[in-house]
Amino acid sequence: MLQLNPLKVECTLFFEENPYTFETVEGLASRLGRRTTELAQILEHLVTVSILEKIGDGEQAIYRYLQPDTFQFQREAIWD
Amino acid sequence: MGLNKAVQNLQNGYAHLLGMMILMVDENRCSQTEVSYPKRLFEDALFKQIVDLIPNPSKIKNTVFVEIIPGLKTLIAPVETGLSKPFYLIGGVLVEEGTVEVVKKYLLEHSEGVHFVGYLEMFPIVSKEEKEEILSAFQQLSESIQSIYQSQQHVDVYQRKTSKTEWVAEQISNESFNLDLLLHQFKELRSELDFIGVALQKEHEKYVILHFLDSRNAPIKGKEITIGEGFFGQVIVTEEYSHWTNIQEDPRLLPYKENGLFPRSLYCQPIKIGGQTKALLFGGSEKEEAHFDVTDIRHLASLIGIFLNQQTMRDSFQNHLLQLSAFNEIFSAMTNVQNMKRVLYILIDMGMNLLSGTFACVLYKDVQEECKLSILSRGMKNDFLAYYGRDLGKRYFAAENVNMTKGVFHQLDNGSLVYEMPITFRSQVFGVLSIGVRNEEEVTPYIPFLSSMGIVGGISISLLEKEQAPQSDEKIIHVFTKLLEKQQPAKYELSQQAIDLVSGFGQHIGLTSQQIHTIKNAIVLSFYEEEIWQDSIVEKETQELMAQFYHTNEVEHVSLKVLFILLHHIGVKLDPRIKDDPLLHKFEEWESRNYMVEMVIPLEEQVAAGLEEEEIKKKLNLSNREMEVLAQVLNGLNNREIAQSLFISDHTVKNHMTNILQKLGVTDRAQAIAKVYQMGYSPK
Repeated sequence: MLQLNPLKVECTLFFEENPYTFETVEGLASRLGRRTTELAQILEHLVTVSILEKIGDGEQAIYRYLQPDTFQFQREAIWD
Repeated sequence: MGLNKAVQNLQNGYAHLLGMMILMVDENRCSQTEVSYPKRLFEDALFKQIVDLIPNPSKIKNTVFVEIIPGLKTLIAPVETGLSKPFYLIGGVLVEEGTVEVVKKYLLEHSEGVHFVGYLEMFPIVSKEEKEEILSAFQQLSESIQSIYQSQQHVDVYQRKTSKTEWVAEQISNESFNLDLLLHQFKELRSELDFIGVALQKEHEKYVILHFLDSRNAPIKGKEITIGEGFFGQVIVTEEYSHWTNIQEDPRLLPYKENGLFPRSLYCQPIKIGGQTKALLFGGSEKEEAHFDVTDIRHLASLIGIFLNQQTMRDSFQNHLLQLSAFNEIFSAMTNVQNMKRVLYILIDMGMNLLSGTFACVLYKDVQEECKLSILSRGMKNDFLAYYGRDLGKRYFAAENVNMTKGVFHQLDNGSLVYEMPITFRSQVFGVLSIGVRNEEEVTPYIPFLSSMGIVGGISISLLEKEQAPQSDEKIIHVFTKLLEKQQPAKYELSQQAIDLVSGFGQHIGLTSQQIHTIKNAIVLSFYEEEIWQDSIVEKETQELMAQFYHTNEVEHVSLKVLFILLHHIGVKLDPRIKDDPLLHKFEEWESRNYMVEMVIPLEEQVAAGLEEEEIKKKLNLSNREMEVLAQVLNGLNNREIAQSLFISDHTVKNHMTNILQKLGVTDRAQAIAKVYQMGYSPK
């Protein structure tokens, strides 16, 4: 699969914009106006790189966005 | 002249020359030429009878005399035409000198010979020497006819090749054209080929058979060829055309036999693109000594090379278009989002997508909390992240005057390789995107894109910071204050008195730091005509307070009341509207208590008077650089001037100021100045 194909980008941006979305492949296909077959492969790739989480299996599997972990520290702690 | 006519003419000529009938038939004795007569002495039916009497012509391999009836001799010569079965040239009939009477007697006594008795006198009678000469001439005739057929065959092959080449040249640019079609065209031309195939390079030393044509449907597609192994593996090593014959007992043939192929001859030609063997063209025949035309094979290999190259370029172009479209969408999203975290989410997710990395993180400065650095991450454990985050921070945010705008590979302590791409704009580093990668090679094609992503990220964050940063009147208020100090020192003293009271009273009655800040600005501005400053002030709160100050009849807003009260207190403006306001009484009460405190301050000041630089530094836990910056602040320099005087960047001054304010426990530089002076320190 092309590392950055437009559908993968579109899908990633969609989840970033709607981080609380829980959706099936079919639901996403309908929202993005794409075919489920081409979308399923993209979603699986996004699951493997931990951008999405897959809940359940088969056609009813639900995908959701995994927000990156946040970690914070004092700047001056760096220079110690 | 056509082939048949040329053969017929040649045959007629020899018939006259040799003085005998000649005819060419196929293996089934069907005529392939018309009978040539030296003289029109015989009926056509006679020669048909002669041909029918020749025993099994397919057994005849050389030019020979055959007696159709004892004493009556005919010549037979096989002619290789290039077709599956040869033709046979038949000439006759001859009678050997000295045998005529004996032959005549035999013909009369035997039923099959009676028919020929009447012709006996017309058959040429030849001596032994003449017989040999005729045999030799007849052989020449058969060889000549054979040459005509072979020449014609070459012409046919050439024409078919030309026609196929033209077809390929026309089709090769079409999207529907593929390697199987090309191989099919070639196989049709070469009848000796039982199979033909192409293996494409998969990895450095492995090739996979992806195209294969044969009549047995052998399951060869998908089989791998490894460098050095088997017939074709050798060709990868030598990079030269090779062919093998009589290989039926060769152990290297086993994989072929297992898949139902039994070649006895093989060839393999490397297909080179850019000097490297990118594919192998191979073919096989069940003939023991198959003749492979190496020139044709090389031409086909060149065509396949061109086709593969074209296909690679087409795929690459298509991929570039798709990637361009994807990049466009990413950049468009990054510059349109209104939230810095979303810019960072895009950076981290696209980084993961692009390199299919095991982890990625972004270290960045939080606009809201300048004293902190934050990390967003995917796939990295928190304890390691904290360590790596500090390391990144040291390398990208501690070093001054270091131009860290280019991506670099970095080896982590745990052995992982990361590609670090600074998020920059105009030499300012806003953050760093770090992506875990397997090796440098997989990143190299994407470095230009990652670099663009770092810059677009920097631009987006810079724009967002500008949009979100509160607009400040700090500089203009500073100018008005300085102007007042120089031109009207008395009024300046009064303004400072009022300003000194704002924080204390404001906090006393519960004003926010923003409200206190606005009132301080308003105190300075109230010493000037409205038209002097009205176009220069950008803080909305200050604008609103000053508008109420000049134009509102009702004094309702608490900030306005405090402003009037303070101005009233320093005797600048006594407004009747606040004369009976309860807040005025509250102020007076507070102020009287504050006076008591002020009475104490001089004593403290006496104690603190003469506080040395080292002491204040120690007391406030300031670094050397922060102490230098603080001294310049106390001298009235703004950030830009401090930066110039200390030869550091504006950005660094801002960082130092943040730390100084935090250590002093104050919110702005005016409070900082006041506090330091209160502590009894004045810069030298």
